[in-house]
Amino acid sequence: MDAVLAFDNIAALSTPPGTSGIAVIRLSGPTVVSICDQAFQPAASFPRAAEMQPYTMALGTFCDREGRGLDQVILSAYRAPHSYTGEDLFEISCHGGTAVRRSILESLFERGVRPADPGEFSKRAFLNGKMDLMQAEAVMDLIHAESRLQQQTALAEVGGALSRALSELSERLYGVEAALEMMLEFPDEEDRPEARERLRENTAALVTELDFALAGWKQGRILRDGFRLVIAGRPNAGKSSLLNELLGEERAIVSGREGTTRDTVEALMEIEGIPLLITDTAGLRDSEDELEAEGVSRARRAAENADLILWLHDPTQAEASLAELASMKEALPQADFLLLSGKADLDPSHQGLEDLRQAWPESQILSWQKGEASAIQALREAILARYEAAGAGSQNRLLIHNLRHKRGLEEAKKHLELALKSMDDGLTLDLTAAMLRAAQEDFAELTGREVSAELADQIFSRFCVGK
Amino acid sequence: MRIESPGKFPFDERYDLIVVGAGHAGCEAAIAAARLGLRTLLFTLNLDSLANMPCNPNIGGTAKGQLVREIDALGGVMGLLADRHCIQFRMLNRSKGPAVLAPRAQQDRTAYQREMKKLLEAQPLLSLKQAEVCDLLWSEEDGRKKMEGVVTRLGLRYAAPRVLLATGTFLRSKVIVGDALYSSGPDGLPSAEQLSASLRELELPLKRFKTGTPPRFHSRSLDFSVMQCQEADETAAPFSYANDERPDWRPKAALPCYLSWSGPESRELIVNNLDRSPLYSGKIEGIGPRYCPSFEDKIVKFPSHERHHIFMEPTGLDTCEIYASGLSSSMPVDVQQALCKTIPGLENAEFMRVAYAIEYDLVDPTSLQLSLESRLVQGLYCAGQINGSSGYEEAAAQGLLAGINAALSARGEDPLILDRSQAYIGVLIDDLVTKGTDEPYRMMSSRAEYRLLLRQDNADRRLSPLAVHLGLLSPERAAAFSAKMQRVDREIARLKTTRIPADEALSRFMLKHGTALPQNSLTLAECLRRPEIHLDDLAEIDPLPTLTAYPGQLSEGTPFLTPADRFAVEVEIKYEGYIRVEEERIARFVKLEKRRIPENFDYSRLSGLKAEAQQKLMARRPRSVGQASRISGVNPADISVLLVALKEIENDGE
Repeated sequence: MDAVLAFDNIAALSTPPGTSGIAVIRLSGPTVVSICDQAFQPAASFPRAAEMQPYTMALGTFCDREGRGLDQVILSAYRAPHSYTGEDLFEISCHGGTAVRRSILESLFERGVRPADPGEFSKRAFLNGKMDLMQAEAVMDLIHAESRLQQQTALAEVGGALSRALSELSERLYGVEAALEMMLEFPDEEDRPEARERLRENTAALVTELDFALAGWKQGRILRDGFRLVIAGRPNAGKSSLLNELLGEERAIVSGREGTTRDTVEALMEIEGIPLLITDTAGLRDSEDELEAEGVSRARRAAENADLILWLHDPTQAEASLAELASMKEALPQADFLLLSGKADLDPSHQGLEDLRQAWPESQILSWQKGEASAIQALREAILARYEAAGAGSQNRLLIHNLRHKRGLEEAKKHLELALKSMDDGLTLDLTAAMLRAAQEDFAELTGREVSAELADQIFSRFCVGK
Repeated sequence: MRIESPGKFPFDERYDLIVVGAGHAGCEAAIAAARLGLRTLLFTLNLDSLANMPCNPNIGGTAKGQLVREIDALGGVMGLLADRHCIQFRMLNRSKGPAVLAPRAQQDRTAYQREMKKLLEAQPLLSLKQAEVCDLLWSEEDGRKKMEGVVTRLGLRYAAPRVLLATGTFLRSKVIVGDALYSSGPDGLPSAEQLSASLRELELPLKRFKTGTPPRFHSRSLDFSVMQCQEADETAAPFSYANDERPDWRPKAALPCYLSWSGPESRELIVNNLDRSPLYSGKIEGIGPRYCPSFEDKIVKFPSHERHHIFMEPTGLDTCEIYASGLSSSMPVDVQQALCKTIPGLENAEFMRVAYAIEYDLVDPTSLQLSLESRLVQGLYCAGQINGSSGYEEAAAQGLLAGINAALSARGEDPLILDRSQAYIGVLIDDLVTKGTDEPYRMMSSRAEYRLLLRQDNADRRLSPLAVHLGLLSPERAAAFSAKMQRVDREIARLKTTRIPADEALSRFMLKHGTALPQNSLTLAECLRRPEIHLDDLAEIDPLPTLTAYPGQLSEGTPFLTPADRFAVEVEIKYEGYIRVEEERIARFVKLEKRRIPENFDYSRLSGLKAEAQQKLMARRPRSVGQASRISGVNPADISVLLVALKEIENDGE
């Protein structure tokens, strides 16, 4: 095996596939300058590719090997080592049609350029010292960010917020370990009951910190997957209309999935930068219709995983609605409910509101009428408040949304708890020390102070082509 | 001296391996190599002083005890000799747990030496000579240096393709006591003045360390009645696994040690005389050990400590010399004497040997490979204090491995390299070679990442299969080893499968031992995992407890366990959950150790590496990514770059 790392020339489309106004093709490698120089015919007063200054652009025609023009493009030049990959790099901005992009890429491949693998540009950036592994991981999170808050959290990690928090915990653990090692290494002098008691307290305090950090996972999960809001109520209570109004108000629909009213309908929207995953459920009733029964059971499952259940009360079928709400609350004692009395136009005496207040005096209760903007606004504010209360809105909490980080913290916690158990069971200190050391390694791997072979192996494969 | 055509050079004698120095490293190395079939020549400056213990008269202790057990499990001799000449046994850290449990044995020092000499003399293929080696002979081809032999003070030339340096503290050694500074090795032996020049000629990186030793007093001059007596343990445990199986093994004596303390007057005396200490006046350039400080060091570095322990240790059965542990010093003799006046029981101490510091040359161990062969000179091995370690046990461990590896290289086989999860020996050698050391390196249990597995009770399980494979264990030892493993494994399996019903008897048992009552039936192993219950207690509920006996005592086929077996069984079961956590950590560790770096790997192309890392990796050429990660100056970011780059190369190769 030749143990030399050899880089060749690679190219890929960097903008999303599909027709667009402009597409960007990225080209990086040791000899891309001469390749571009051959392919690019500059327009009058623009320099040849080989003569371009770094960080400049030039207008011209991109040609195939026979010299036939393929498209008018703008070429952006970057030179090693000051480029994304650390190599000579060009970005070709061309017209966004599929045929144009394909012909330019093919002309590059004909010139000996290879299609880039997923994440290969970032991998080269990494291998050329442009970013470290943790940053690469955060860059990946950034690429996959789907909301503004997610993006901010990922960006904070590019800057090392999580690393700093974990380093502080790790420092504290080092202190505990050092005291324990003294007790082990120097038999007579250091091992006193007070010292053991302090050891226990300090370890327990670290577990509390980790609990706190892990609580951030739920919030982080909300950031990643969205705040799960489930709209529930009797059939014909107006749930679909309510969903449409919520969505209609807010044009920032990221994705939506159509279904029958008997199925659940999901929609992702953003309120104030918060991703909201709204599920409209089929009416909750025990149905004999097989298809509908399936919808109902999906509705129940959705409700079980909800961050907030929005119960739309139907005053025209008040008794059944109240009974179902009661049974649902009983079935989901941990769930957070927001009660909404609907069909206000059919309920001029606000009987619905009154009934709900009587049944659930502790609950927040709103009223809603189709087409009334102020009601939707009030509802949005109420949802935001619940979101804040779930802690997800808090900026100063340690937010975790990367599964690897969560698992690492859980491992650390498990090991610290074993350390506590060994002390509580009156076992010997060598066991305690081993568990503390295991937790320390978990921290080290989380913060990148110790290299995880798995992460190094996997990280670039999770990137997409062109990055 | 470089020689041109080794084939024509007029050598006087020829060997496969020459070992220079017959201390604890040299003796283990020579015996192992000769056992593995090398015609071996062992040089010593003085045949009556080999395997000397010029400092503390004991073997073992924290982490060092584990080393001796490992040496024994690998077929070395230190454990057997230390067992035979033990005059006081103590198991340290009994309350701290099985991972740090450390056997320590005071030694009948001269008897140990005599017996080592007998062993060396009896060893086939091994020649023992008294001579000073003054020069190394080497050749050079295509810029690659290669060992050819050695020259002695009297001009005799010995040929060998492999030379193992185990020179201890003898290279250009200087003894320092107060104002006096003179060339001498320890215990009045001559220093080796010329060999260092030869090492410099080979362009090996040399360093200089300092260490020291306390005074020896005549026992009749000490008042033991005012000191605290520290008796030997009532039951002793041997270092050697062979002796674990012998019901008649006992230490040959159980002499007490005595404990006294220095006090404020001692402090005052030292502080007032600090200007007379060569350590603080700048006379000593060598770097001393932090973990084994001189008395004046302790006074300066730990000003808050009111008093310091002073142990009086016997040094043999046929001598009145008492070793004063804790009084290591390089102060002038009058200060040493005045110091004794401040320590209860030592007021009239009669000095037989004064305390002294000693400075010596060493080879920077980072110039070695993990096999302990030099990276710069083919066939040159170094072991012991020449590598910057301190301690007999550390030296013996390196000597054993260097001797084995010299033999393996002669056979054209891969070296034996123990990793950090296999043995303290692995930790020791990896620390020295990969991290290097800035002071005499002492083994400590906190240096080992996987202490729960590197226990003194299971060194045989960890290492003896390797020794059997190499042929370093006698057939009898090998058979005894496999019989022990069968006994232990069978008992563990039995305890895990024998189920005790949740009846009244079990409840009574649990109640008696103060542990929670069981809801369901339990296996004996589950009972044993209760913190309050020990293996011996199980006999109360075990329907068919295994007898405790020694091999040969019961009729053929009757299951039994030796006390050592029982200990191993108890630890394996009782701490299984914790041990498993450590095994998971090891699995992670091994991944990086197994990620080998090709020998021709081109670091210069990897611009993601920081300059310092690139330079160090190019110079040291680590075997694996794991080893690379422990080189100082190589950061995690560099390691991840290396990992991804290696993966790239692998993928390209496919």
